[in-house]
Amino acid sequence: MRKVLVGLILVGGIVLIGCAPAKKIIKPESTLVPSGKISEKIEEKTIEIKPEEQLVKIDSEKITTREATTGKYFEDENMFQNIYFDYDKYEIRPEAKSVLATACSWFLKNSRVEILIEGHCDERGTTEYNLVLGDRRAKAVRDYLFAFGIGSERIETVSYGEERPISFEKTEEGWQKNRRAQFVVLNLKELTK
Amino acid sequence: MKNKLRVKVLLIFFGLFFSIFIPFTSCESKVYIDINSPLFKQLPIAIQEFSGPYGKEISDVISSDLEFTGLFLHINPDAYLETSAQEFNPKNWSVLGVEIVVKGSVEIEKDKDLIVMVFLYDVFEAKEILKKEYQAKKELIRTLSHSIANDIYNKLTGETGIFRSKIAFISGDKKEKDIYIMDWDGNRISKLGVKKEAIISLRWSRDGTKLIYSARRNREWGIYCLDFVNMKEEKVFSSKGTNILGDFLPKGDEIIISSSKDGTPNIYIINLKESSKIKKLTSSYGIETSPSISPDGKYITFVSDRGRTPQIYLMDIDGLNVNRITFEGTYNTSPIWFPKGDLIAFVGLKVGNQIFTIEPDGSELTQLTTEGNNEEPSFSPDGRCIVFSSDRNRSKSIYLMRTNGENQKRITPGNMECFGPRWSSNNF
Repeated sequence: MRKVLVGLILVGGIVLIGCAPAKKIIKPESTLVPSGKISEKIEEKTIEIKPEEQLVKIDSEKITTREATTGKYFEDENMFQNIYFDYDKYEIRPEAKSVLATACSWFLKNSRVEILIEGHCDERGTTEYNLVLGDRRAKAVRDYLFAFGIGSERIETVSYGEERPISFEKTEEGWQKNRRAQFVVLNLKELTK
Repeated sequence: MKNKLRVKVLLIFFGLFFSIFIPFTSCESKVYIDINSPLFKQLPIAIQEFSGPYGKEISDVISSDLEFTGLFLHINPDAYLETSAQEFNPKNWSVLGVEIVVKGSVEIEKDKDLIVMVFLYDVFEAKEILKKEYQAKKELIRTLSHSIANDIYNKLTGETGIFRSKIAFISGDKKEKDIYIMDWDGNRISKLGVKKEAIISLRWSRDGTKLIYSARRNREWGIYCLDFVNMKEEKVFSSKGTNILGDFLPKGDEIIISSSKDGTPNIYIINLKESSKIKKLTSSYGIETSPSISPDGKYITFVSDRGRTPQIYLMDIDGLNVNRITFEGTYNTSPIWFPKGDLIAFVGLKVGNQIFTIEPDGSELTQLTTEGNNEEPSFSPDGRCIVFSSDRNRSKSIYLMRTNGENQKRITPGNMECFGPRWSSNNF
């Protein structure tokens, strides 16, 4: 297995040198004399064969992956206000309820649109935890929509963690703007034609 | 089957080895520094500039490799009484307090191959303890130098050096992220070309042939596996919700992840060969994430907000016996298990995000960083160093430190935004 692992890669024109453990041939010399304490001499002659490393060119196309692209929707991001959250929390605040009620009644009237809820966080947490916190925030809003009778098949959620801040100010005010769930209204392209 | 055969071959090999070498083991196994003893003393070493073409370049890499470990006391070359061309004379070194001397010479063969002779001397016993010849193509000069440093390190400590291991990390702009790989010292940065909207949680397989990670494409967080042998990237798991890779299980066919596929983020074990084999380990309405497995495969450390704030917890590999480890601070995340035993590194909020270590029983809490925000710790294969990301110089870069917090240094370029570092095994 270790021999199979040989070179890495060159992608996008940058060289990557992979390493495999070099083969070693250890030939102990016959001069090893175990007697005599101070005069002991260890001589180990080893020839290291060239490392089995090569510069291998890999086109980025060679990294194969199968995935479809989206693009079947017209996205409308600014139809509703954002839902804001407390630091490190995902409970819906009481003052968000009127925004949610407005959005929900519109979604109920416009039953053909689909709804994306994005979860976002401020930058203070750690990247990975913020990603699950954003997931939890988006889902707190989604659960609210469920309670209004909006079908689960119309709702999609995604977490962006701390990746897409609105404000870059490092103040509580700036951070508050970033701790949010955001609605994106998805209009199917074929329907709106 | 194949493994069995291999074990047999190894046994035969070891049998032969010991039958021949037993008389000499007393000299063979001398360890100059007992690095596992808390009272170890730095070993005074003189690394002479290698003679011949590229000699300085090679001996500089060796010096800086050994220096970062903190195990050696480097004696200033200005004080040396002997040139590299002169024959080793212990009297020239004992007066300087030097205990180990490294000499080397380089020749070029056929205009492209480097042939390096390396000699290691014990000053007290006035003898040569290592003599070795290396040969490599000129463009592999850094790999060659790291190999020499590994051999010297092994001879003096009895342990395996980490100088040929690699570090993977993430970089890119707002629209597109990619994975990069570099040597452990930050040299030879290379881009892999996997191109994703967002990438998180890079993890190496133990044999170094695969890199697994979470990436977002078209609003979906999937788990991808990049196989270096055939250079194929494959999506190994995807579902609705956020899927974040945690760790490999020791056997290698299973991974532990956090997924919100059923609503809230919980921890699952997935078989890579049969993705239908999914085992759910936690069931909470809150957040359960970032699992990391102990080296013996028996325990999982993870993050949970079941106590109202994110804290580090411990549970058995089957999800039972959950215990909270951290009680100080209100935001403790990103735990990672020490590769050699009972220690966990994690990130705690204390005037910015800082890296701490703690024992699995909650004792010995130690803060390692203080400047800026420091995140995403990952241990070197021998557990003696930690790589992490820090914004202490404004933009995020990759830094190294020793596991006791000493010798913190940036290893990626200041103008390149880098994060999510992960150290490979020595098998790379």
